Amino acid sequence: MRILREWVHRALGTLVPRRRDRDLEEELRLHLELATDDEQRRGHTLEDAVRAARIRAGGVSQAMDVLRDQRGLPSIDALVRDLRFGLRVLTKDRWITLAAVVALAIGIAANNTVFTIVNAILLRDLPFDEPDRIVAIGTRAGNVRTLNAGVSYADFQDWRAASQTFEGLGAMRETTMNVGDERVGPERFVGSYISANAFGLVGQRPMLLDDLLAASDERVGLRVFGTMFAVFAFVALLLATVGLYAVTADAAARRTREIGVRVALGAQAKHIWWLVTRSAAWQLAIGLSIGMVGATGIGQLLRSVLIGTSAMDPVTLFAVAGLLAVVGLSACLLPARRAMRLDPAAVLRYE
Amino acid sequence: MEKWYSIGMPNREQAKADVLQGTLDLMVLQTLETLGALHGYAIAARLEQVSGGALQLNMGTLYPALMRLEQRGLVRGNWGTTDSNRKARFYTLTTAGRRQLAKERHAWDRMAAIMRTLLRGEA
Repeated sequence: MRILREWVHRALGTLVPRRRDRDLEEELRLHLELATDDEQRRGHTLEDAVRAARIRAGGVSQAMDVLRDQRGLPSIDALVRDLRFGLRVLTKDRWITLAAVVALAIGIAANNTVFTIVNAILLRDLPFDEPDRIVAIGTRAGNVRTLNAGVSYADFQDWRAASQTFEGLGAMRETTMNVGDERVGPERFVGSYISANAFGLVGQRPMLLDDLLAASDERVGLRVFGTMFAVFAFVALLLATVGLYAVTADAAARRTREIGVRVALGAQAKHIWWLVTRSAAWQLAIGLSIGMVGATGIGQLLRSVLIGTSAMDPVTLFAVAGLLAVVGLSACLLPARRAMRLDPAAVLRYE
Repeated sequence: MEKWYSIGMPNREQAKADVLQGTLDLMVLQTLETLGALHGYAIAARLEQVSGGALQLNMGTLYPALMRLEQRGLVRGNWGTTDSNRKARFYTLTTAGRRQLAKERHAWDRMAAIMRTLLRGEA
């Protein structure tokens, strides 16, 4: 019961300190004064008495540290303090924050886009014998990139009759459909209705219905395109990584002095780690979200140009985001670790 | 070859503080019961005097303990003035504090009796 009451007080104390720092300090100062008086009464000179009292009673700032912890909930108190401080630094260095966020956003968007393309074109071929001989044709309405307008069956027949370049033309319509039989309940799939000759065109046999097979030309150098993209992707990832590291590491190095001050004032290593990690995590979170939204947008665009690439390739998206998050965090923590190991006196002179 | 082992100071201090915490609370409550309203320094001075100088409480131990007792509703602190006309925070026992003291004193007596018997091997 009593313990519960203590924690209720401490929880409240975290939100609204019942006793202000000044109030606590006054109490401690009186303690020191009275201790000094006592030492003087024992025959010390004033100077010696002050020293003896300090040794006997301990320092005010150390006692204040423990008192502040006792006043509130320790972790929340530290969290609020660090969060407030982190936000202040974040707004103070808003250009660095902006640069880090933009670097992250571009890094993710570019990488995700490029890797999606690489994945679709280079790594994961269309599952056909000669995928580079397959193209999609269609119509579009208005100023859009998608083949969105559809083709009438009459047009399809005309195209087929007039075509001289293609080996053959098959019709297809992507849709969602419910598939099921007596044993399995209906399940929803994304599938295509295709014309009877389509299987023959791509050199595949349907698993059922052999008699569907009927029969039917062009080339595009997609492979050259693919290799180019792969090189591009690698360079983009490298640039984004190096850029991100440089920006974040510079921002963290600027805090060397601040870390030195905190270490000199007796901050624990744990607190410093949290402080640095937290402000880095904020920047990373903002940058990563913007980047992911951007990547999704570009992905949508890509999807309209290249069939078979999904707008959100989650594996690629999260792999790239994860890599950049690790790079970003280590870029903050390495300079912080260096700063913590330095002699506080040297750090304080660091500019 | 000689080998040196060291125990991390924080752990050692933590253990010491843990042992002390329960007894310190009891000592503070008892002092306030015996002498009435006292400020922090007077409590420390009294404990030092009673222990013949063996018990020197530094501020980082005493004041958090007082704050803890206050948060638990066992003592109450109010600003007042000392004999030498200085502003000080005086602590008094609450009713709950008196009850808690009686309970803990009893528990302590029992424990001490058990330990005495056990350590002297009288049983």
